[in-house]
Amino acid sequence: MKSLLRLFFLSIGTVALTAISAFALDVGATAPEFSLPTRDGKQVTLSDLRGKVVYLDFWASWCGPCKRSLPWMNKLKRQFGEERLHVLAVNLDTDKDDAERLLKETASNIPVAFDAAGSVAELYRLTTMPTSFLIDGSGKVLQVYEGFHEKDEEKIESAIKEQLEGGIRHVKAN
Amino acid sequence: MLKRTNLLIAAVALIVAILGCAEVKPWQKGNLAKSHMAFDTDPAESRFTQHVYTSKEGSHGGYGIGGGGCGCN
Repeated sequence: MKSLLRLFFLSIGTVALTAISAFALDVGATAPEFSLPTRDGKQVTLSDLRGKVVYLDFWASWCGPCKRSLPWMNKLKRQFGEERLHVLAVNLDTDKDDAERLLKETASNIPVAFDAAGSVAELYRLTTMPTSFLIDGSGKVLQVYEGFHEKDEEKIESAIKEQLEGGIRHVKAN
Repeated sequence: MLKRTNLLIAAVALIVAILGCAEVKPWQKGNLAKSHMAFDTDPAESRFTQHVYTSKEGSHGGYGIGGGGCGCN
């Protein structure tokens, strides 16, 4: 009986440990490398975006806040341009058509990549939908944003701005 | 000896049961998000129904709002 109890608690412990590891990627960690197909049939590789600030967003058409974040990401692209900021929206729909429908509906023209299998989402250890990562030019995770609220837009925009301006200062210093 | 065998069977059953727990990842909830998967398809209607129900019962609360059913608030 005693060893059965011991086994029971050991099992509970294992499950608890699994739960503890279920957190999104930490700030300061190196963003895991990936290569995904894009809308135009090409491939996007994270390491190809080195030198740019990347706003990496994971979304799906069935997720309400994701729907609301798409127009704002369009605005981000317009506001900061594509030269130094790369907005990449990774879609996690199992059916690509669902994604295309929503992109059309929201008139989105941001770069979209498809990860129907969720393998990149797994790498980034998403805990909620949507989740976004602000990645600096060297591939380090600067910020993790879980969920999407309109009230956070300004905060994210200023974080991007700060990073872009910081980058300019860095270039000038050299 | 029999006790030990029982214990072993119980242990194996427990491990198998725990392995059977599958975690649904956040990006795998597409089907759950469909409107016909919701318990209440119309939030306004279910709120109204709840209001009528609690009025009839003479108690309210227990649905994420203050009050424990004493009808005093």
